Amino acid sequence: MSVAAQELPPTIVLPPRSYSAADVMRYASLTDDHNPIHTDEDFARDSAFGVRIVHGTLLVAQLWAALRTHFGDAAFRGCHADSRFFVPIAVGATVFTRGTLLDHAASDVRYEFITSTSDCSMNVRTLVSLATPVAPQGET
Amino acid sequence: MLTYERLIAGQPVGHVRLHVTQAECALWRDVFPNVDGGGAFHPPGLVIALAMRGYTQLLRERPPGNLHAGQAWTWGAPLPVSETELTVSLLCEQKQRTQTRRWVWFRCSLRGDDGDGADYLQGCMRMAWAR
Repeated sequence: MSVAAQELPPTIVLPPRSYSAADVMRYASLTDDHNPIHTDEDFARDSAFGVRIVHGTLLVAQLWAALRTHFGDAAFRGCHADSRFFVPIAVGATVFTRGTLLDHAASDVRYEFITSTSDCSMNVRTLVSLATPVAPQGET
Repeated sequence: MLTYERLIAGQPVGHVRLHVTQAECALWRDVFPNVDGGGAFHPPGLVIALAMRGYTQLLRERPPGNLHAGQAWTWGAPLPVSETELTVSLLCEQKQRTQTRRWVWFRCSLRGDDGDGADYLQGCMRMAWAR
């Protein structure tokens, strides 16, 4: 199934959310990743960040959920996503993610997503190439 | 402890079999209760979380304080909820020491053990190794 180019959202704004200590512990259990930088207050206090930080893969998981909602499971077959984690995000901080349509071709759609804790920061940058066929103008 | 010096670039770390349980799926739904449930296939984010579970199980002795600096994933076939047996394979692809960091790149794949061994996820992660 293809989508018309005019149906591609030029921006995708995810609802702000935070990851609580309980969320992080659940994700640590799921991934078996109990790195104390995520789970141990005392260890994190002595680290370069001074506080517990959210798992990087958890930070961007909300993004995959949003893309699944917009484009469906089929768009993930062959989907490529490249994330760079620049600045860690503290447990409990509110996270904002906004995506911008970069371009689209006959076989894929590319978005850039910026995840941040405020309007002027860039904590994570993710480039996504979705395997969503885009119909030529006038066809759907 | 698996220090930076003990990692060998180009060498496979190994494979691990995962059994996907309802309890793990429930943990995912607890974190994303309203946006990522239902359907015949597991959410793409849960697929990555399962790959990470394989990574952590294969690298049990990694030092505390490692940081996840980057990742590039390509999803394959959608992972059916009926698929409960998976294999994660891991390769230490590259190492690089700079003045401030010990970088390690791992190549990771998640495949099915049922049926035709479908390819669900391929990727590369860049880690800042703590020691």
